[in-house]
Amino acid sequence: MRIIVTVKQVPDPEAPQSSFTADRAAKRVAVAASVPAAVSDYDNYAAEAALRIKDNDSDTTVSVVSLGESHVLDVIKRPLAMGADDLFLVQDPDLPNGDPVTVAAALAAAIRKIGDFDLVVSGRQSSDLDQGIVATALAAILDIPVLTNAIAVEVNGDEVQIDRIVDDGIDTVAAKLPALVTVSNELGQPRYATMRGIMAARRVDPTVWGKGDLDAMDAADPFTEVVDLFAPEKSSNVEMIEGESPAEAAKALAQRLREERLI
Amino acid sequence: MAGENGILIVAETGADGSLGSITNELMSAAQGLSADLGEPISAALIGSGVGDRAQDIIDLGADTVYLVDGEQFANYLNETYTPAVIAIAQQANPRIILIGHTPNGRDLGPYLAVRLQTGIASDTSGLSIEGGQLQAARSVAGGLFRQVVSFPKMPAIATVHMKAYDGAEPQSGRSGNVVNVDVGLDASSVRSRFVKHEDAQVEGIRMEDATIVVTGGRGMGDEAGFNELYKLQALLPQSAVGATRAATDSGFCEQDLMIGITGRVVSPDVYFAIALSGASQHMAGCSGSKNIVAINRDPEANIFSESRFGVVGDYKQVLPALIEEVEKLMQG
Ligand SMILES: Cc1cc2nc3c(=O)[nH]c(=O)nc-3n(C[C@H](O)[C@H](O)[C@H](O)COP(=O)(O)OP(=O)(O)OC[C@H]3O[C@@H](n4cnc5c(N)ncnc54)[C@H](O)[C@@H]3O)c2cc1C
Ligand SMILES: Nc1ncnc2c1ncn2[C@@H]1O[C@H](COP(=O)(O)O)[C@@H](O)[C@H]1O
Repeated sequence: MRIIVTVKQVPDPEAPQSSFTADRAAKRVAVAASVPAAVSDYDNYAAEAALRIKDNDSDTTVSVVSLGESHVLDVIKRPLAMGADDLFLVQDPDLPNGDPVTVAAALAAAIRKIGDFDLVVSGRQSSDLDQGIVATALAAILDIPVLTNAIAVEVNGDEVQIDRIVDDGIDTVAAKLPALVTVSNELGQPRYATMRGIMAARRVDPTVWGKGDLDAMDAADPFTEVVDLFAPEKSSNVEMIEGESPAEAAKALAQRLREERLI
Repeated sequence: MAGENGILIVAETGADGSLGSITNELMSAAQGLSADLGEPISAALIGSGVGDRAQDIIDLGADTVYLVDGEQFANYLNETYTPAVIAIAQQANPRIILIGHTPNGRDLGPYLAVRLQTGIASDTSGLSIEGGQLQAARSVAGGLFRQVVSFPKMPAIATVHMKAYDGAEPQSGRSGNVVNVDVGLDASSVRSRFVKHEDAQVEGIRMEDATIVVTGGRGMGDEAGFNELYKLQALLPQSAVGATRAATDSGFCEQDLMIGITGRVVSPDVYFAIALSGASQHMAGCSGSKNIVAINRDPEANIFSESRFGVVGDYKQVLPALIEEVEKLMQG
């Protein structure tokens, strides 16, 4: 079967907080040049879910698709180093940016151009925008069923089945292929890239498309617009509790909490 | 469509058929918008045998409840609930649709937006009316920044962060309309199926309902260290234990104790933040807490700037003494 994994390249979210600032005029987050690029966290789990399916079926091909202004090949090839087979990059400085449904439409156009597929696997949300919209909207645009927030994924015949965490427990749901699944970190740690994987990934030449290569990319007006972006005000008024020793401080803390009727 | 009017909220019911607390929160968000717009509030109530809940939603402030009640809707499934909300939206023709940013709401919202050919903003926590239309504020970059989104098309769809609004209080005996809606869903068009539900094994009370949450981070060191938290928790009524992602990913405890942007969202009266740094992704799940109490050996840890009380020290020394003193106070 053919699995397509959607992977977004983001500024490393673990970089020091001071390297991110609000560019209020441009209504976006300005990122210091020192911040390395990274694969959006949950997309590593998406790749892992796809590769677990491939582990059990050697006829499975895993393709990676990513859309962005510019990609750092060593970073975006990480899923290939983990075991994915090929890479499709949609690169254009002038891509629809911001509105998630418009981004999903562009991804849908790219996936249609890649060709037939059985399963699309995506992350539950991107590490920079935390929307959790693009993948589900992509399924709607491709008109395939979607199962979100998977903590376990398996393919049985012509169906994909997942477990997902809901408010009061775990639901198991299934969908006919082709379908789209989004993956959460409870799936379990993504595998490491092996030396062999890294070498194999180096040899892969990505297919690179620009905006003009995709159908229906001149989507009409965006569905949403970002009208402001700012750093929220923080006012710290912490009361530090001290003591002769850590144990004395702890005792004082308990008493303070009791005074405030908090315990 | 034209003539969009009012706010439609999508209610949620729990496995036991009761209204989920998110419904009260959505109603309270809708009330603010409704007052600004001078337009009514309606609710979508979808499920099997849920008709009795319609009056509960009217008591919370809805003017009209659109009811989709049938076997087919016994369990949430994107492919059955999306057409149900669409059928309701066609009748209600709302200006704004509010959905909980819950596991099912997150699943529903984007699919619905595409089908209705309109825009959506997710995990919003500040809704307002500007020039007669919705604006929604949300966090980005793991909580470092706020972004404000506007919606050029109607209906505007927003999923609303859990606990962002205090739940609306019911006023019993309010009057409102209940409208039965027929979805006319063709079962053969449904390509997915619900297989089963397993209830979470909760010992004690749910974390979301706790008035005190005792949370440990990576600095707890290992499972044995983490388990010390339960000694403090056991002394405190209505309390629960939580964890950071670093703690769950390191295997100190069960995955489902994780609090944060992709975990649970809690807003207790007291939140003990022990040996955790206060990363923005974690704070997204607990910043609504009324009093955060931090214990950390690093005086520069970000968690102190988010806390009401702080103690600098190794938890291995601070926690046992805290437990001892709390035990004394609880007895006395
Ligand atoms: C996309 C994305 C989503 C995420 N979602 C979440 C989420 O939902 N929830 C979440 O929690 N995280 C989430 N994270 C991870 C988050 O960014 C942080 O990495 C994580 O919260 C850190 O956990 P921590 O504070 O336990 O560990 P650390 O940041 O490593 O902090 C450990 C702290 O313990 C202190 N310490 C160490 N030893 C001791 C001791 N003996 N006594 C006292 N103090 C001690 C240290 O001084 C330090 O401050 C996410 C990250 C990404 C990229
Ligand atoms: N530019 C992109 N390129 C590839 N995949 C993307 C892109 N944006 C979002 N996605 C996918 O959609 C998921 C959800 O993204 P978001 O809606 O931005 O939170 C991500 O985890 C990715 O799998």
